[in-house]
Amino acid sequence: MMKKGKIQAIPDEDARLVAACREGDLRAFEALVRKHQARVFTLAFRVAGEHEDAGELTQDAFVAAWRGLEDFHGEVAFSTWLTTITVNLARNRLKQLRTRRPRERDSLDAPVPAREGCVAPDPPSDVPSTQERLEREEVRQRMEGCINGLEPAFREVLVLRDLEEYSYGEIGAILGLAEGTVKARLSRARDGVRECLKLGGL
Amino acid sequence: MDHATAKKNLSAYLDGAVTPEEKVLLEEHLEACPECRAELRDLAETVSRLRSLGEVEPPPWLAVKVMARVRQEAGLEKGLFRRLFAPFGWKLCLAAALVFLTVTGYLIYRSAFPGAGSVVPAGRQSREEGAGRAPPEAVPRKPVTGGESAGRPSAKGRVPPAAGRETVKTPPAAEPSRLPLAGETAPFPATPPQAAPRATQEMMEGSSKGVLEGGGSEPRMEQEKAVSSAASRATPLAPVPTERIRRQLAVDDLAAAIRNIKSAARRSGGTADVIGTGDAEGTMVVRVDRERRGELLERLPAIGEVLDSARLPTGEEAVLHVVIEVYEGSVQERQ
Repeated sequence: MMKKGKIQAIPDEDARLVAACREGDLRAFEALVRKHQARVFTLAFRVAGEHEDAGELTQDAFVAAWRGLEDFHGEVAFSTWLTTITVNLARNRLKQLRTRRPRERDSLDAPVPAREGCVAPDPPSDVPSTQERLEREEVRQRMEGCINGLEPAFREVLVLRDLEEYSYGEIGAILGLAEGTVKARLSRARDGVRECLKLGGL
Repeated sequence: MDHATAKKNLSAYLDGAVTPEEKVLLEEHLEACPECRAELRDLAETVSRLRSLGEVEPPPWLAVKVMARVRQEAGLEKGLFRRLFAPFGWKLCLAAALVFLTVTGYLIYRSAFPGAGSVVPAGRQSREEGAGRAPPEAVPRKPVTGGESAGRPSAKGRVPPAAGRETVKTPPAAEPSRLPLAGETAPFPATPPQAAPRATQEMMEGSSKGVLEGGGSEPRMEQEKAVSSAASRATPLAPVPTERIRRQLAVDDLAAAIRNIKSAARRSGGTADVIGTGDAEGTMVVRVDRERRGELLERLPAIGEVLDSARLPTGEEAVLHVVIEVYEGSVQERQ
């Protein structure tokens, strides 16, 4: 049926590290940070859609995880728990941004974002790129622009399903939504991206 | 299944998340509806494109920053004592505490009854050694550096390493009450208050070391072990900015602005990294020393128009987000 989250291949290792963290072992926590940072950073970047915040969000997420370790009893995989923390932080940050700058967001009804959105974390290389690389880069930028153009409530479902590959049930648990809602939002979000890509000639 | 319902179900159908009945009905409709078939194809392509997006590379400093903050948290929560001794378990903590109490008790006993006990000659001897061999300023350091030789006179110690060291430090602590030696104290007026805390620290070091491996190596290295080497490595780094300032610059040429920020950072004694760029937007982190923060901020208006509530981006020009992290102490040193 549905694929599970990407980083659940070795839950035992995470569980062992989490247990060590509870004993105050900072190295174990550092191992968790190094293992999950790219995923958390990507998640923060995709859900918040504001690259300037992704680094800070990631830091906040790990600090919150460290604080909350005492209350984490392994009901879900550590990676899923971390995802929940990250998504919730990103949601709150977005809410704050919205109340401060309500004019900024584009709605799903107008899925083409005004700006391309923030993109690659890697600075543009000085080495001349091949045509193919440029094209791929363009597609990626366009896609990221389309994801950024979605309303946050739709974007988070899309990111968790199509980029993080969580199941509908897991997404429901992470976001606190009924599975039916997840299904409906995902359908609309995918439609939005599809339309957006079409408008961009893809 | 009617057309609208079919369209709504296409996404779930792709994920295999429809009921068997829905599946049959939907597939029937697909047979008859070329529009839905095309849409399903498009949707499948969109999803496969999304899945190919992959992860975004986090900035290289991210883990270091996270751990710096976590260490700060851990320090606040658990206190110095637990950080020092947690790696060794409770038995050792108990042993260390016992040694500490024994030694402290002994010190108090000694200062209360200066004439009592067999250690008096030892104390006197070490004091004489210090006074005879070293210039006055060197005396307070004596217990730290010369522990080995000075510890020798009191070889009768009950608690070997700790007691051996401790007797050396006894004289300064007991000094005020030992009037017969008052003449000797005169050249070192500052000795007692400084030596006492140092003695305590040394005792704690000595005791944990003693139980751990029976002593022998450099005390400093042992202490590093005790603090957990990861934590102690972070101390010289101190990578937590004391302040974070955000500025948005409206610029005509993004690449040129990035170069200018880098050079402005360099000229202000700091460093700058690009963490993201697009066609019309970029994000940079600039790390700068507190003293030179103002200098850097003054350079920004020359690079681009600083945006605020009064001057919002028009959408025409590129926007460069600059996050300025202000650090205590030299940024260059830490790089």
